[in-house]
Amino acid sequence: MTMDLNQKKNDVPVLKFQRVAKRFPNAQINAVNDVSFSVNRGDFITILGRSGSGKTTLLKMVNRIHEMTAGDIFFEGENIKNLNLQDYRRRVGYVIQQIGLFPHMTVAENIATVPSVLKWEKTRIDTRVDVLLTLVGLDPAEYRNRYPGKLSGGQQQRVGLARAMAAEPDLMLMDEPFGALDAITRQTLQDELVKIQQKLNTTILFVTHDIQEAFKLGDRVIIMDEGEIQQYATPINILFEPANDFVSQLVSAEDAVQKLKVLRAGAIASDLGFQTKSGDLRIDKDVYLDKVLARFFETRAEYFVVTGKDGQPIGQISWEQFKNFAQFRKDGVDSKKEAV
Amino acid sequence: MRADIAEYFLENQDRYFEAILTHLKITGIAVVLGLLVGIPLAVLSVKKEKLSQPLLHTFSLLKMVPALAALMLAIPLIGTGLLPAVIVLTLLTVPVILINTCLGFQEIDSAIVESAHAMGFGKAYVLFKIEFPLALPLILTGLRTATVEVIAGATLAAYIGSGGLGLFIMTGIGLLRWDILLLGGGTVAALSIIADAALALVSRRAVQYR
Repeated sequence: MTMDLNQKKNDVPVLKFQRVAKRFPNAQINAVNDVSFSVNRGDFITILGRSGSGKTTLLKMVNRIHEMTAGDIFFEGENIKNLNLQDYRRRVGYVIQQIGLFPHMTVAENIATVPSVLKWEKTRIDTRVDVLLTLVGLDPAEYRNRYPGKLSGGQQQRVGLARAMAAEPDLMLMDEPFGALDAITRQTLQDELVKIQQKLNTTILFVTHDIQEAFKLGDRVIIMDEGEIQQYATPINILFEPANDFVSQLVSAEDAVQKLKVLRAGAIASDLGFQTKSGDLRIDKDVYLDKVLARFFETRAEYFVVTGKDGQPIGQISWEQFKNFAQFRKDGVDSKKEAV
Repeated sequence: MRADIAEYFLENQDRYFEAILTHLKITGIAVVLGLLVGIPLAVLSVKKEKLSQPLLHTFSLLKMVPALAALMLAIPLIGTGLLPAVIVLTLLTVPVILINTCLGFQEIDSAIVESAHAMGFGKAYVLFKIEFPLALPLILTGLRTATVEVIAGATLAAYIGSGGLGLFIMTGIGLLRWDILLLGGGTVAALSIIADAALALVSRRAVQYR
């Protein structure tokens, strides 16, 4: 459903790679080889790959931390080679695993760096800092004037996220931002990032080596191996129609329960086909399928009406269909494909 | 003996305070010059990898020359007096400031610098607003070591006619007068300890955020 929304706004892609390659000095082969793809406004794209697959190199070519050696990258229709590097970078948020907060500046000063350089008024900056801290779940009164060294890893990355979003960037680049956090903190931050992304409709390019994370967060997933894109599709398409043996092996390692944890109700909902009644049980399109399964057991319902952003019914999931789906039989999604 | 020191002190108050002032002047000028030479060289060697090794090796070698030897070598080259003393002592401070500043820069987490560049900050901004403040604790360590070394070194500089508290020590040795010797030596020791403690305090304030 998010796809439809994007296509309407799809005047110019936020980001477009055109036959981009990167070879590091003294390397025998390209780290990234002949890669083309585009990202629309509001897309949450995850890039999944093993270490050495070229996924981080791909990401770091976007803000020119690494310079491409062939091809072109377009940002909102403009070739990034023609843009003033510093102005351009200020429009692209950047969050990395090592976080990289400035330890000699307070939390507020860290978040305020880009707005300050952009000469925002002080009151506007102060308000923005408070809004962002609240958004990432930190109480401004308590955290504004703390130094990063006094925060936990999870809190630091929340500040990192706030700092990257400070000047309302058109695009966010995230390089394994939750990779160094413990499992519980990681999950919390993943869930919050999804909420923030949906609230602000931010465009995100998110690198990870964790297949769970890639499928859970991404509206679409880019699977990288040996410097090339193996598949660029929605999680459900990747699961059901792996483009090649590499993708096929990658996803077959995941068991059914794991798959339920990364797919959302909206992805498998079929056409409504009937008038909803007041007694119908409803479920939000962004609820993960393991929760849907739990609700089937709890309520013993025959079906759920799936609702969209504004609570409007957009489809349904029947128990029959869900069962087929959970067994990963093709007919589980056939009806869905007609719907999309 | 205590009476001797007091008596000598009272008789030579003017010379004594003048010697302290000269001593501090030599130290101050040498340290400031050392910072002005050492820090830019350190930044250069961190930013230009090709220069890093030759620079560090040269100054490590220089560090091995004993202060007294260096001062004596200065006589045939630049003569005697205050100027050669300051030049030699400056050269002695450069290695420790250079090496500590280099370390300070090298110890900065590269992710911090990468973040700063990715946020669209220019090289000058990153250098002055990010790298310098983060390297400051080690720069201050270098400054502290250099200052204490120069206070000691300036004593020897009296041998090439620069004046300072070394004069009292030389006089004390020459006349076999323990009181004069102790007055000079004790004051140098006291200056070193005070300088060290003061700079330690500054260092601690510089890393309050940790």
